[in-house]
Parts: sequence; structure tokens; C-alpha cells
Amino acid sequence: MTWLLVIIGAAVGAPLRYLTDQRVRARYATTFPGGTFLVNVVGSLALGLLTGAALAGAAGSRWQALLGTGLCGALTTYSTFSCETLRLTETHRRRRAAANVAATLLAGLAAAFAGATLGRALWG
Amino acid sequence: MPDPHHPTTDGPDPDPGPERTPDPGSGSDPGSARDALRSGAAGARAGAPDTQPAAKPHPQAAPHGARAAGEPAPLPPFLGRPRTGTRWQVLAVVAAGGALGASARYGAGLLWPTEPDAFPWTTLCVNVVGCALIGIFLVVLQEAWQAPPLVRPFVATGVLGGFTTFSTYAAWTWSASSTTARSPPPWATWRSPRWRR
Repeated sequence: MTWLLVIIGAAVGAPLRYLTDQRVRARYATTFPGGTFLVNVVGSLALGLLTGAALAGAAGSRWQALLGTGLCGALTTYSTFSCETLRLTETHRRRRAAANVAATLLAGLAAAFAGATLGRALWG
Repeated sequence: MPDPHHPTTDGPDPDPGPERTPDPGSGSDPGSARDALRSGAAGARAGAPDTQPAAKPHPQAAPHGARAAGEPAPLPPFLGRPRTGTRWQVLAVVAAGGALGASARYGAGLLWPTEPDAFPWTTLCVNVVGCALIGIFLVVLQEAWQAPPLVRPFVATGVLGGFTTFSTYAAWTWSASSTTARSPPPWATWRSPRWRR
């Protein structure tokens, strides 16, 4: 049953990541991988919210499997982030690569902290 | 009118025809097709149905100020870009791959469970393995294997994108920093308790 919830969540999260990346690429003509950055930050915010809710006792293990492991886990990605960073360094855009790493880490952590604090405030 | 600055731009409903992967059997010069792939000149494929060489300059002047002479071309699309197939087909294979990858990540968490306060070694290993696999896969795809068109969105965007995760890191960092009890350092949780005794 939990497997099924993870699968359902991931089957929504992965196409959402793909569509977001396509939209961002279409809208902003830049070498900065904004789509991956966006999904990672939004996914971290959502998982922070869920973690705060779970700590407050408002989200059970099924919600965590569906939304946390499935949706947020598949919405965010590490492999694409590292690959795009590598591609930036390979094409001699080292500053952009460093900016990508710093921005993703900082914004992702900040989003998770904000989400968790908000989740605790909402459901705590 | 495709933006020459950004040849990866996708319309809302991409026409599958011009983006078809050059057929190695019918193409007169498969080497140039591979070079075009490598240099990321997707505009030649996306914009011109007749497979013009990548070196052909764009007839239109750049609208938002020309690129500086030394600046390299925009990043090539290398993840999840459909060469062919409808958008729904790509979405379907991405969803299936994502479900597969997330299941594998969940299975890894069941096989090697970590305490909520302990260092998330399983997530770290999943991410490292996923990054290694995507690197191997993309190089193989670029250098050696003329894969069917939907393979790349399935494997790279779907399976490996769903396998690796970023949000777990961020959320774990919050949990670790918000716990009042001082959790042991990562190297302490790595060794087995009997070994440390």
C-alpha cells in the first residue's frame, strides 16, 4: 500500500518537474538552469511544510509516503542539478556553476526552514 | 520564430517532425549530426526541417543584442528533451520512470533504514549513485548509443530524476538543526555499535 502511494506521488511529481523545466526554458532564455532550481526550492518548501505538519501530528505516514517520498522526492532532483552544474563548468561558465550550487543550496534550505516553521505554526 | 539565443524553446505543442533524431542510415554525414548534437546546436534541428549543418549562421540578427564573439553557444538541451514523440508520450514515460526511480529510492530506505536523527546515509548514497548513473548514461548516449527517442526522458528525467532527491536533504537539515538533543556526528553513526565498543 505504501509502495502504491509512493508510486502515485512520483508519477505526478516527475512530470511536474519536466513541465516546469520546459516552461522555464521557454520563458527565460538563459543558461542558468532555472527550472531545476525552481522545482528543488518548491519541493523543499513543500517537504518542509509536510515535516512541520508531521511533527505536529497532523500528517500520518501515508501522507508522508504520498507527498514526501513520492511527490516531493520525485519533484526535486539531485542528478539533474549536478549534471547541469557540470555542464556549466564544461562550457566555461564557472561563475554560473558556482552560483547555481550556492543558490540551490541556500534557497532550498531556506525554503525547507520556512516551510517547516510555517507547518508547525499552522498545524502545531 | 525560434529565438536564436535559446534554441531549446519549446512551443506548447512541439511538432515532432523536425525534431526527429537524424537517421544514421539515411543521413549523408552522421558525423556532422553527432557534432551538432555535441555542440548543442539544437536550433538547426528544431528550426530547420532540412538538416542543415550546425555551423550555418542564423539569417536573422539577434533581437536582444548579439552575443559577444567569444561567448559560447547556449547550453545544449541534454535532459528530458524529446527528440520525437508527442508531449503526452514524453509525459507518460517521465511519469513511469519517476515512479520506478522513486520506488527504488523508497526500497533503498527500507533496506538500509536510518534513524530520523541520524545522518541520512541512504539518501546520500542514493544521490551519489544516481549522479554517477546519469553521468554514465548521458555519455553513453552521446558517444556510443543511438537510443530510441523516448529513452532519454525515461531514464534521465524519469528514473534517475525520481531516484535522486533534493528536498530530503533540505528537510533533514531542518530536523537535525531543530532537535534539542545533540545528535551524534555522522562518523559516529557510520560504524556499527559493536565495532565502537
